[in-house]
Amino acid sequence: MASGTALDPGTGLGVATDAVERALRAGAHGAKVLHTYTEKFEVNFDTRDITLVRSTVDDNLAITVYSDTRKGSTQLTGRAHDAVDRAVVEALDAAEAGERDAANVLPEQAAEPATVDDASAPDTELMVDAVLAHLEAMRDRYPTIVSDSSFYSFVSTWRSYANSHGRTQQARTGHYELAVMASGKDGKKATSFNYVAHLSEEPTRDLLSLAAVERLYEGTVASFDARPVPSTFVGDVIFTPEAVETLVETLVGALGGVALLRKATPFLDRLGARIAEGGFTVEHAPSSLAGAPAFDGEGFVNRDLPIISDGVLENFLVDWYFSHKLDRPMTTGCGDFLVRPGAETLDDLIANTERGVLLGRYSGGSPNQNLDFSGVAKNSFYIENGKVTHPLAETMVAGNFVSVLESIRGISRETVDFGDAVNPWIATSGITVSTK
Amino acid sequence: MLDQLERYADHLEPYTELRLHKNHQSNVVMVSGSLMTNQSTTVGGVSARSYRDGAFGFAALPSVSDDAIPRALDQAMENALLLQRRARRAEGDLPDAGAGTGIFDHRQGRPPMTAKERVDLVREIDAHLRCTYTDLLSITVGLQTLGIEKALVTSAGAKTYSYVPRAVLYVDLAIEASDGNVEIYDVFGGFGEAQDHFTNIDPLRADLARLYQELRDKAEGAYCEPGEHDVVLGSEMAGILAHEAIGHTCEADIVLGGSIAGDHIGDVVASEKVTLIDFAERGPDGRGGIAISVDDEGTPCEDVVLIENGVLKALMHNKETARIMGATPTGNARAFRFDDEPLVRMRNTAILPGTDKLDDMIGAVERGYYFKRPTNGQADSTSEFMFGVGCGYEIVDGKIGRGVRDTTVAGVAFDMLKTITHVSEDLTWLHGGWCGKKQLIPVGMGGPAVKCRIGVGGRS
Repeated sequence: MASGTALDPGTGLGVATDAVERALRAGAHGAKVLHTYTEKFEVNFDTRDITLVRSTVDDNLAITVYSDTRKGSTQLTGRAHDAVDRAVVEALDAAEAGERDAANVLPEQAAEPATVDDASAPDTELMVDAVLAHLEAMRDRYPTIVSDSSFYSFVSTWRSYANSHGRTQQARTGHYELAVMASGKDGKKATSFNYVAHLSEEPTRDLLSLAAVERLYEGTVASFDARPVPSTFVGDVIFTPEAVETLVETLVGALGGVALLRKATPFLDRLGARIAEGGFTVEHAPSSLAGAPAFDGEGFVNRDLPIISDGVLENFLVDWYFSHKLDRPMTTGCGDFLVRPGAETLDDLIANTERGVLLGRYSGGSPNQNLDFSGVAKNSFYIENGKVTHPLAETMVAGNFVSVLESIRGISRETVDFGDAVNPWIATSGITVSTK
Repeated sequence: MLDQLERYADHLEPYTELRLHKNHQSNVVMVSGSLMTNQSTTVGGVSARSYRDGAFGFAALPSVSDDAIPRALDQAMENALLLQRRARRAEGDLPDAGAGTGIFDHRQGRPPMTAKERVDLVREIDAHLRCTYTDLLSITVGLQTLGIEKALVTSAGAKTYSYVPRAVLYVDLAIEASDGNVEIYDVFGGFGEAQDHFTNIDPLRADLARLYQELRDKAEGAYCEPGEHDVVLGSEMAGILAHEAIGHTCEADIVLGGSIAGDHIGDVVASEKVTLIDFAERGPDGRGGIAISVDDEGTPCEDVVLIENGVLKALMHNKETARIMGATPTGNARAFRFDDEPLVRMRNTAILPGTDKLDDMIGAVERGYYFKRPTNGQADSTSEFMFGVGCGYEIVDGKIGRGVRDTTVAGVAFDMLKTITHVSEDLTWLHGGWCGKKQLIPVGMGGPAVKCRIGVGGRS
């Protein structure tokens, strides 16, 4: 692949600090710069073969300048001095056109520099071997599965942050990502497509050994001859670990700074209150997840943090800017979450479901400010009298995620590890399940 | 940019594409009176893709300098050779698809809006809304511009430059209803630069008043009844229907990945009132959301008639899918960023207008819904699609009734399209429109209003 060995984290920090100095010389009252240098090696494949080997390099400089408390930003590719100077002028123009905002302040020098150097490099031969072995295994074990737009990649990232108060951070990290898209095709019979991604810091020779990937394929071959639920009803939904991700993403949006500023969240006044049942616990856990950045966009170290503990809302997701804007304590500017397992087995959750849906994937409209949702139950199965009976088609689910949290009746002890998230199965009730 | 590449054009071998590519963007976002984003961005670089005996190699570098170009070419060939050596059987040449040439600069030449003018416009709209509609809980106003600038040469003889601009203004309003917050948004602008659309706030005032009224109607409205209903999908909904329900299903790489459309070429899949085309240029009215004349493989673009009078006719191809399926490339290979490889993507996808009047279509529904504007959507290889509805109304005895809250419509395209009984005489293009498929990319989506039966999500 294209070589980036002429660069090291120190060089990247030099680019960032140089850009800060240029901004100050151009008249900025303050500046911050995030330099990101990325190398990617990617093996693309479909059902038949490897389709493309792709290597890319990106060299991105994000410059934010301050004119009093007004802020303007630019991003550019590269670090040529004349281009940086032009970008600084553009950012200053934007800042001077901007709004005064007392929250536009820069953090002081860091007490704890987050210099991380995880100097891994891709094992490209192993990656090609792994994909070839995977294609062969798929032909033997899953002949009715077809796939497209799948890839196994390695991404190396050098990130360097500097601001005009002397705060600096730098990190080099690397991770492997396997992204697979698959559907079933047997003659004229077809299943819905589905997809999964798995991140890891080490390469994997046997891609089928990843639980998330095996689940994708097993779920797909079990999904032929899907049909709707027998009738519309209000019942239980068991969110699979894949579908739990939709729940977490919705929660993250509702607990973030923008939602708080817009008063666009049902949790606005619920800090310290119980918002979920069943022992539901969500943690911001970068230390145990692959691909998590070492620091956020203001140079603060990415730390573990409880968000919801045993159903109680412990923290909003408030970064440096919103902590000043909203006069709330700063918590985190990053987003790396896992959901803690419960005490029940998945078999028990299913056995205790009179009538419901095992929801594999939610394909629906983005939940609104009240967290109402309405969408299609994809890659899902009907449950009746405690047993999974058949795969579903043309079945919709509708409800409200606040109610979902309040109605959790069980969380599985089993989890699925996606590398950048770890989720259990979650059983809840009171959801409208409809068909035509 | 094209001059820079032309010196390499006669030396590209074997099959190779060489592209210089810059995306110029600006983004101003004001949330509840605070300027959250005030940014301009230019990202770009060079990419090369080589094909050797059935093996593709791609490489991209973050520079448009003369020394980066040969390095990208060498790296792309090295990647193709790695693949050929390790994995790929010889599979023959890519099909001859012609060689697109020409300069396609869609800028109108008006003086660009300055950073101050962009911020002032957003600030003025925010202030107008705040003063005029005092019960709003939150106001978000955003102005986003995008200019995609590319030069491309290929070993097949393509030599082309394009600059395709788009500018959209979005307004999101929220109000407190009796049971919580209710939100609505709309998007304005489209193809062209910001100065082509937004010289001042005056042309927007009527639309902002209409948006506020729709919000009030929605706040006082009800949840939909779940199940299948008679529905009039407004002309702004038909574009996403064309894109999600049929378009994705007919992308040849998706067909190779299991889409059932491949089994239905020549079959009746829709009412005979339905003709659906993916337009290379800007569509029959010249107002589509994007303009692609030569694709990113250098193929001259052609319109692809996907459905003609209800019959499924064709798929959209790039060179690789055309080679595999024995078809002709259609000019649908597109890449969004400099470091993206071209994929099979739609351009301007639209259902053609019919002859019916919208009022007659609503009048023909005894009890059902009129859905005006979509939110997000998703397709499936089974042709089962869904898209969200952000603005809609009940229809009772042929008349518009209460507003409805956010919902989702869904169906199996090849069944649902057969239920279309009316197609209106107008054609509306969505002002924005993005499509996600490994890479995000701007697309055009358009159509008339259609009356059909479709599944509606809701609360019992």
